[in-house]
Amino acid sequence: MSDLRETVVATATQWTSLPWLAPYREQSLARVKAGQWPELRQEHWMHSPVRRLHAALATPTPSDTLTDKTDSIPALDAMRVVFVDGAFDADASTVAAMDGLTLVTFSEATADEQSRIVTHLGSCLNQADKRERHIMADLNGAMLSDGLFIQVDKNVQISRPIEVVYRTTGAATGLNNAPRLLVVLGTHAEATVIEQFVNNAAGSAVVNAVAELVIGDNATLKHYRLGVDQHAMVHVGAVHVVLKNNANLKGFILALGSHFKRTDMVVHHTGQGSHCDVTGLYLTRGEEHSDLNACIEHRTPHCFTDEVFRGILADKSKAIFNGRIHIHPQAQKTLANLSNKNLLLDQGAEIYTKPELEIYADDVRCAHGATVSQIQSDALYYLQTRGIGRKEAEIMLSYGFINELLNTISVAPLRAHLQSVLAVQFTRDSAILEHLG
Amino acid sequence: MLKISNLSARIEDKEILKGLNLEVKAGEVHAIMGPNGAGKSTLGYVLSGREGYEITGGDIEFDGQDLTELDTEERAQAGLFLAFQYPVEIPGVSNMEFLKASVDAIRLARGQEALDAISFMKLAREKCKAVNLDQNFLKRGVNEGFSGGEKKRNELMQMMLLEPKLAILDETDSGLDIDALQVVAEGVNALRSPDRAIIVVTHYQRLLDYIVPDFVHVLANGKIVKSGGKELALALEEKGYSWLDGGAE
Repeated sequence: MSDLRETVVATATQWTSLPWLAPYREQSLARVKAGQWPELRQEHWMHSPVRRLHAALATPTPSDTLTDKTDSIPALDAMRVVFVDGAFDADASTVAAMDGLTLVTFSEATADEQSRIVTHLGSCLNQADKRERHIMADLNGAMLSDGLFIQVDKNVQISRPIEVVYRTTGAATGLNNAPRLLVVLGTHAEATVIEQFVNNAAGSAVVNAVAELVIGDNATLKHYRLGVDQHAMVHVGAVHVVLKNNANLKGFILALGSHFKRTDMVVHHTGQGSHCDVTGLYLTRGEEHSDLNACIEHRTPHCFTDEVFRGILADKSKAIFNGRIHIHPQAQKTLANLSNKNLLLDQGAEIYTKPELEIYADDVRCAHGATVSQIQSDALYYLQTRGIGRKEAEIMLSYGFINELLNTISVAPLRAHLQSVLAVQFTRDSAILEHLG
Repeated sequence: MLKISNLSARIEDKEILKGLNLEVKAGEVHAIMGPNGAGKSTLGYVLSGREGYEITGGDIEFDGQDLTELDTEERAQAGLFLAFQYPVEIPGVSNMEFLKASVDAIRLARGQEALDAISFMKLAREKCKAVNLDQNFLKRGVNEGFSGGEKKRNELMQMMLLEPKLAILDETDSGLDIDALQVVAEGVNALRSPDRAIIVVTHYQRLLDYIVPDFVHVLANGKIVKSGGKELALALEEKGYSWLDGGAE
């Protein structure tokens, strides 16, 4: 195992890309060298099949690229930036210039933009303590070559969503597919960002993506992160957020596919009165594995968190949910809720769920809960008494379980798109779709 | 239409129905009354094929077929309908998609084509109006957050949409105020027809003022202990159940 670690460190050490990012890469590399390599004996990874990650890194094998997978969201009017295996694809991107908006890739940034990027790069990640930051996020920094910088100026509201598509082809092996998103919202700014991970590799490919979101005073960001992967994909990703005074985050995470998926969502309340609403869905089947870690750091008073995560696990798949809310001593008057519900469809499916409240302030209201269940038999019976066949009734109920969360998505074309993607996932039969729209 | 002979059934180790006989012909309305714990709801569950209710003896013939051979959904497709005492809430599944799936399944079983979305919407809105439910209830999750009366009206709406051959109304009057009771009773009466049978299960005579039955049966201790005309219900209201043989123990 140490051989693999050395190989990875050696690759990162030799990695060259945009020279102005070299100091950041070196900083990240130093953390990589000091960090712990993912292994089962660490709490971070103890339930994860890390051998699948190791295997993908140890024997990077390029595979064919599928052409039939599309990444378009019907009827969505959005600015669109496409990365293929971590590199900007200008031809596939459609970007309009707007006053008050900086939307530029790292590779095309002007000197002024570069200096703004350098100011903010790592600012969210560096807030995280050792427990919430692991070597993969630092490897993203050490291998950084391109990324997207979105900055919205003070008092500017961008209503048109910005869609960032990360396409992974069969050529993406090892850790060089390491895109970074950096979003900085000024005071009273608003934006909607949809990150879409699309995997066109026929075989095992790797993506290691990090997003940093800095949400300024009274600013609002809607952030959707959609990971729809092929089975053999290894997908590691992290979203690190800083919320300032009265800042709002409406976050949504979808984790679908992949036999090794790890998603981290770390939010820091650093100003007063900020709101964090995060919703997440993970659906696994076959021998897929999904690992979701959410950590909300309440460092300041009068902040609000509402987290709702749901998972549906079929076949022999496995999922992990760790949800931690950490309320620091000075974070009085915090309101925080965390709910995690899981539905197991088959005997062989496994879920490890660990909601965790760590409270050091004495005047707060917090609630957390986790459930693991099978399809409710009385609901199933009710549908059957109305003539609906058992199989279709099971599908309707599983779908209903997540549809409650999809209904909260405010971007209508995105909501409709996900409802149809997930309906197909459940039914594998488009005939049933007509009931589910 | 329905012939139950010497039916015994249990849940887990508890014998609930103990040799029940009942025959219901097309066009008839039967009321089944009886004390708490007599097996009234169990009868509905056994007829609809609920899991966990085991038939230990006797026969159930529905429309010429052996009902016990059919799955729950097949019984519904064959024309059996059970209106629940406590309809289940299903968040995330909209009432509309539930109703459409149900109507489509029943239509397909009858050899009819599924309705297109527009015709179905029109039909559903019509029925909503007939039971005095706001159309917003079509968009909400199935029974989610509905009041007791709204749930019962939703049951009635389903019955109107599915047009069953045999409808069993399990304590449809419980939890209803007098206005809602009238709405439900009017709906049920409108569904009375020469080729449809209705079984009304109730505790109280009150409902039978609105839905006037052809026959009244008393179910006690797992079997029918007395049958008669609608005047039997009045006698029960006056004297209770204890004067009957095998009545409340």
